[in-house]
Amino acid sequence: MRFLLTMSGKGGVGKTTVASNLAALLARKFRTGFIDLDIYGPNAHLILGLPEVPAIEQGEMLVPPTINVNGREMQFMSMAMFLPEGIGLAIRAEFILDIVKTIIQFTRWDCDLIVVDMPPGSQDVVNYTLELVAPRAQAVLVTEPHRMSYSDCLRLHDILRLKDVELKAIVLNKYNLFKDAAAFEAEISRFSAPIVKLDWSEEIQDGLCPELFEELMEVVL
Amino acid sequence: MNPKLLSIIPKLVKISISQWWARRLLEAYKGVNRSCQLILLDDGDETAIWIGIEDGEVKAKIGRHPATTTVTMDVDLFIDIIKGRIDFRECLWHGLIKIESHDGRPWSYHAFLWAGFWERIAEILR
Repeated sequence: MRFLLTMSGKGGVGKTTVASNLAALLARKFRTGFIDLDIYGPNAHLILGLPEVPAIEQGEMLVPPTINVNGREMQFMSMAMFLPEGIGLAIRAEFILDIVKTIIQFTRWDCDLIVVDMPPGSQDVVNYTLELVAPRAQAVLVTEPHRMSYSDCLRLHDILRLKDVELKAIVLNKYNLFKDAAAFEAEISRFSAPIVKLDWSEEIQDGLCPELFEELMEVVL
Repeated sequence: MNPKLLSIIPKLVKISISQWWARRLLEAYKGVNRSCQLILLDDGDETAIWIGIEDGEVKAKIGRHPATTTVTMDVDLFIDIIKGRIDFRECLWHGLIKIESHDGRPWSYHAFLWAGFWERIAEILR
């Protein structure tokens, strides 16, 4: 089992959209799981849906419930399953890391690969998750082609290098919205990872449209 | 036993009559011993209730006994949860309920199970 980490240096760049659609595509070929590790602000469920039953315990491990995504079963874990809508998480960082540990190490995942929607940046959860999964992990970096997103992307790229996590692709998201996109594409090409350009469209904004992510899946596989 | 708890006895009876929770506990913990120490605080006083599975049976006792999990909260909060005035999960993630693990598993492992358990209890009480 391997982990495919969908990461970004900055929030709001479309990481959850990429992770959800990629997972939906991968589920057509592999037994796929999905973890929303944005513990404070989970929202992959807004695209993929929530399981109808809660996580249960079996054999002293949690068993993740499943969601049905375009006719494919997908094991799914998210804080959204345990956190009512509109309720904020007012607990300290040490407890957040404890949650990550439960989801990754104390949950019986039965799949070939798990797509992980990571929280933005290189905060504690990101570093801790990399410690737990690094030998079995590959990453997709999502960024927008503008200087602030690029700056944060550089830092995250450095973290991946430090933790020895293979970078499978860099997604330049909302490519058509930025006038200097081509210049940033040239900058990013020095990362020596395949670049996948994704244009913003109303279809993407509406949620699940996996056919628009086929190029990314081919690059990732 | 804290006299404030008398006000929720009808609700507790409703939960116990449903038997749902006992069945769920027995299914989930077949072949294992698992227990929860519930501590209800009230201005320095405490009411301790132990609920657990021992040798395939659901048991409840008054007082402190060795448990795999401890759940601590204010007695008034517990009453509000049982009366459906507030959501257990909201209290949990707002830091009003303390869950401790004594079996080597993460704290949140138990918190997730409790969150699911109380959702069902709330359904029974509605």
